[in-house]
Amino acid sequence: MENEILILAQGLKKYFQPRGFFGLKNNFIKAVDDISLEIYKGETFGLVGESGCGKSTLGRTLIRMYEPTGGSIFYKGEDITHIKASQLKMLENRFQIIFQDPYMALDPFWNVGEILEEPLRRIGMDSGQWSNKIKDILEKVGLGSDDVHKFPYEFSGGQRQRIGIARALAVNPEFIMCDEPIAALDVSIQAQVVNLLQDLQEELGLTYLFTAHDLSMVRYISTRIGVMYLGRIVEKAKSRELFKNPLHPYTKLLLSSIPLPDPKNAVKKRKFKSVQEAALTDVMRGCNFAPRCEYKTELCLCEVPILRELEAGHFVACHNAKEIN
Amino acid sequence: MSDKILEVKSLKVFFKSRGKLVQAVRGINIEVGRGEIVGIVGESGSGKSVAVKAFTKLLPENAYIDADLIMSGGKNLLNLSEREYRKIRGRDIAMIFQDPMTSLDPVITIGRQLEEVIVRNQGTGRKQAQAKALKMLEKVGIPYPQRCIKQYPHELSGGMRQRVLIGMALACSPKLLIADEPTTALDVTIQAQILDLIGDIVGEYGTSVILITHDLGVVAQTCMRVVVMYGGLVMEEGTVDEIFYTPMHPYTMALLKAIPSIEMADGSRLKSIEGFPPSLTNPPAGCPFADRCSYTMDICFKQIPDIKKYSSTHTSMCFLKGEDLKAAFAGEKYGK
Repeated sequence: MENEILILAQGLKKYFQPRGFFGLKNNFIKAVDDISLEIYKGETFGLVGESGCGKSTLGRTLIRMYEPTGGSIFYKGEDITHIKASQLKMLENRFQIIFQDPYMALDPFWNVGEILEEPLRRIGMDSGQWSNKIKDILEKVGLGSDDVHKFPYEFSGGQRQRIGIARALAVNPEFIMCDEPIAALDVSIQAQVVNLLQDLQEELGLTYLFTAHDLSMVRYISTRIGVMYLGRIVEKAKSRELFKNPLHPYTKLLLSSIPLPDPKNAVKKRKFKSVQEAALTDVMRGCNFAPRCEYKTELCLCEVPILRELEAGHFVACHNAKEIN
Repeated sequence: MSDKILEVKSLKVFFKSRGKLVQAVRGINIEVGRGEIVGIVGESGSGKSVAVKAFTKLLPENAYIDADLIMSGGKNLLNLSEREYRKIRGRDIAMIFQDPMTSLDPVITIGRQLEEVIVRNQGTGRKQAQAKALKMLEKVGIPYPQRCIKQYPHELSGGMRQRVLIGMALACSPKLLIADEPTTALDVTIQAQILDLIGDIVGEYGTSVILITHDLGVVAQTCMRVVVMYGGLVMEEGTVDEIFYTPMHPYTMALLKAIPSIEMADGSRLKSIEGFPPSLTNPPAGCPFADRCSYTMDICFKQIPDIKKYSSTHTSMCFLKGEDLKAAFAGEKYGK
């Protein structure tokens, strides 16, 4: 089961072309640029990276919320890169998404019952079975059946996120993209939601793609982790391995930036180059991270490094990975 | 601690909202010494932001502030008129907020916004103000200050905007800087830079800082003392070492256990705090944490515990005796 690939992306690209002044076309934003990735059944794949690195776009392209610009996506070996709208509908009950902001993801004028009926109607479930199903899901996410008549504003942030999870579960999905599901919640509530997600995974055999910028939480929940920088995956490894032995200079920078809850272990002064962060629109021939990298060489500026397996199961996209480590 | 920048005694803040009284802060004492970085941690709704906004009188009109004493720089702020208060803000006490975009005017250049603050508070001419603005931007680590003063807020990234705000807050060398979740909206790498910057400023100017955050990691890395708030009350207060290594309150302990540590074993479960924070319109008669606490006794629901002193810096508000707490926490493992 561990080795069955649920979703496979090959050379996936998603470019956006924003309209500028007077509708002039600007440069492409390469939000996802040539990413190959495999997600195994039953695992949690964590995606980390700074805001704007394209992790949400990657997730949304994988579940075909966005039409990819290039490359291909396979779901259980079947090519779903360019399938028709009618077939996409079928995918909807395989793939689901949980959003970051539970305040904005729920319609304020719908009560919980209506919010949960919508997906059931879409998958064509007989209306007689709805109330039982809804009761069942609510129980799964730790809400009571008397919550059905309440509206989103009557719930706290953590409870609203539970409603968001319930809505995703309604169609019995296989794969859930969790797009920063805990970023808007308090620490004590974060732990509740993460534990719930893990219980559900165990019980229902779900596969997650989990993005967050809280690295310790991603480390905790993920089986494997991909580190993204400006549209590309720069490192990919088992979660424990990545944190123990980061190979890419960017991953090292990210990990050293986590403030540890341990005063004695206060980080020594980090050395940072005050380089204006590069943007996705910048045309770069070489490694995207080169302008901020302290190990950069000539090669880094003119050739894009590809993801290579440096150690078993540990991939890194850096020309100098061997020399640095 | 002899040199106090801020001293607050039994501060209460109430809001009147839809005929109900919301008791956001229910009597807290806070002291900040010169050059000290004090962290205030707590969940949303714990009253941490409201408390510091009360020092600067930045609360909306439906707020009622009641305190025995709010002293800053030898002045009792309670007796000041709004006019006199305006002189304190910016000059003695400066604030930076969570969202650097909404704190800057989107249609005025960075340079002009900085100059305005300097002209207003220091009464210098435009020319001098401009020079000073440039110097401040350089100080906070903006790569091209010359270019930056001509830019508009939307042209800068979140981290750069937060730097501008810190520069603005420091332009008039305040004695106290209040930073309300300054890094919550930023990425970890940028957060690290901003925290380093705040640390540098304290070293250089001797500014005192109150850092409000819900991230215990941030507190451990930057603060000297910590105040843990919950339900409008201070649950525990101590030096960072005391709070992180010998916590004396079940809430602090629960918070520490809720964060995953990097070295945490695979397959272990996070300890979440079940339940929800108390309602502030109708706060419980006893300890606000009693509902979610795993060590409750009958008395916890009946009255608010007294403050116990464990060292000259360490106080906690819990009915349990020190030895009992130590024994209860002895086996606990958390993100060390």
